Amino acid sequence: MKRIIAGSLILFLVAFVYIFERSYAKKLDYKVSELDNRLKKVERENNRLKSEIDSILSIEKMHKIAEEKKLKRAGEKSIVRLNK
Amino acid sequence: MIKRIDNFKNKTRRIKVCIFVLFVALIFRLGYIQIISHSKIDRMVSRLIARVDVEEAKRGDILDANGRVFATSVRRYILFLDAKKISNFHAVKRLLKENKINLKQNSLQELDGKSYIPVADNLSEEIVERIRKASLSGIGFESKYTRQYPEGRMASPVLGIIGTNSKGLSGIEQEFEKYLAGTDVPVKQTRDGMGTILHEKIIDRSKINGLPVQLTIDMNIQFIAERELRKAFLASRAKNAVCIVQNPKTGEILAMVSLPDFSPYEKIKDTALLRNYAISDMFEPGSTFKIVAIAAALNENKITPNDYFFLENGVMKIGNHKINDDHLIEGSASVETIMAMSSNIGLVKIAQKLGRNLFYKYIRKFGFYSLSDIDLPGEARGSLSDIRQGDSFYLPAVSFGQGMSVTAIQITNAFSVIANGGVLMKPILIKSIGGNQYSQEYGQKEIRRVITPETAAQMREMLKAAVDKGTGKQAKVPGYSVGGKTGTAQKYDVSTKQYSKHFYISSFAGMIPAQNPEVVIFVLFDEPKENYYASSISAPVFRNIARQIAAYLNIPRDEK
Repeated sequence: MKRIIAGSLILFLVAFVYIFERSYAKKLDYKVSELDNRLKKVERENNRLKSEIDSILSIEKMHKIAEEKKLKRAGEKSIVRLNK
Repeated sequence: MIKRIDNFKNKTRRIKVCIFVLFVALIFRLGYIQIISHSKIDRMVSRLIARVDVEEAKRGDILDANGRVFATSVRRYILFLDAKKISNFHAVKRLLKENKINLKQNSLQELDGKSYIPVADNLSEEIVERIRKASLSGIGFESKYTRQYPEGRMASPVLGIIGTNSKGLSGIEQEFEKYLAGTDVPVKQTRDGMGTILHEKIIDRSKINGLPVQLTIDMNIQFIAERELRKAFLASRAKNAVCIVQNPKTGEILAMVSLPDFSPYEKIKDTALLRNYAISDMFEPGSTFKIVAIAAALNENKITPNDYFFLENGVMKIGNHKINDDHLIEGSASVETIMAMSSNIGLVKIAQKLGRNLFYKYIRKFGFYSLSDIDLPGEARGSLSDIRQGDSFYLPAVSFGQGMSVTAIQITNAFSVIANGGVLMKPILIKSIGGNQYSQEYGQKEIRRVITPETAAQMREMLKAAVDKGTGKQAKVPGYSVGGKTGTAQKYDVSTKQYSKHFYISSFAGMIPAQNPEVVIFVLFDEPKENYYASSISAPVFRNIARQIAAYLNIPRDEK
């Protein structure tokens, strides 16, 4: 009787561990998926903002702003070149 | 008493056994479902909830020589309404207004029962998330990668465009499709009872996305060239205009402009705008081609720079043809003066001394009537009949750049030969692909030696004289020695089968500084109205571009 009870307990423990492991793996699946979705969102937003920055800093726009503000091109003597 | 106790003990024992048996049965049942029937149940569930989605690859960026973005792909969200699913129109309208999206319709009836009404695009993740959280029915989102060109129309004929299927249709977008496109990957997904999507595999997007392609074009130099060329193009009302800026030592193209160009954001009504005149269109070069005969004759020791030729007082007859000099030189002139004053008669005599066979050989050596192998689609080869077999006028005509046709990139390369000590380099547009992964295929390549370094040095001296004292004076840049050649060529009118008196190709090719050139610049106008002389239209544009590029590249001044 004691052996039967001990055996059943062991069997129960094994089954419990197996089910727990499967359940935990599924939870991790959810977590990974959630993190991946968040990463994708952040990457997309990052790309979109980079593109916006590039557009704002376009040479054509900079030039227009310089002309509107009546900025003048620096003369040769005004430029000080620093060695790298 | 003892009997009662015994009965109680027996009953308790039986209950324990029953509970135990039930418990064991449950364990076995659980085991059966979880372990033995696991695959079968899994298959049944997968059929119900599994689906295949596509992980879309992001198209690679196109960058300039300094890493600035010419073209990139951005995921954009389009918000649309499904009139059939909207249950509360006013709530939808209010929600959109709160997110700064104006809906022009004022009632559900105005939506006409359509199931796809796009309302706003280019929405940020933040706004999409906020609207999604409100969980109002009838609002949907569509997302896809769209191509953005932050610099607008800059270098548009070189970059090209992509079609609605995101495949390159012209320019770099087409030529490097296999690197830029990336690989879409199918991904298995499962959806749980709450609607949450789980991926079977997490894709490493860096492995599927397209590779960035970095060009040798410098955005600042491209801007300088485009701005100056466009000003003169509009003022002259020319049909086309081209400017190419090249590093003669490496073959790198620093700028390539072809006008008219197009904006990648506007509908292209005329597909001719997609043509890159710099490589696809052929023209009779005129006097810029004179460098070939003179360089060949010098290299073959047929002439020296101080040899004199009688210039027939500006008019020479060959068979039924008459050759005129635009700038009359009385008597004889040296080879240097012939080049500086662009004498057609002088060139004819030099070419005749060189001979047909050698002249043809050098024309091909300089890269004419051949593809330059520049990494762009649609390059033309030019046209050239075999002057070794043509009639008596053909060699003279070709010597001053008529009767044959070339492309702008061929002329630029030829001048780069002279600037680079006599070596023809392959014109390069690609600096790196995927951070140097494939750069070797597209890197610097020496094609062949065309003339000796000494001949090249003599040619540079003569080109300098052409700017200092000859027809190229308008190309002079203060503080720098400049070498170059004007070219004003009549266009052949197919309708009259004669050379036109109204339509010309006006060009200037030059290098700065003249003795140790760092850049070669070619400027061309096709059919400029009113003033068509290269000295009046192309040379000044060269000067304006060269002056700004010299300052930008910090080229040391070599003249006071």
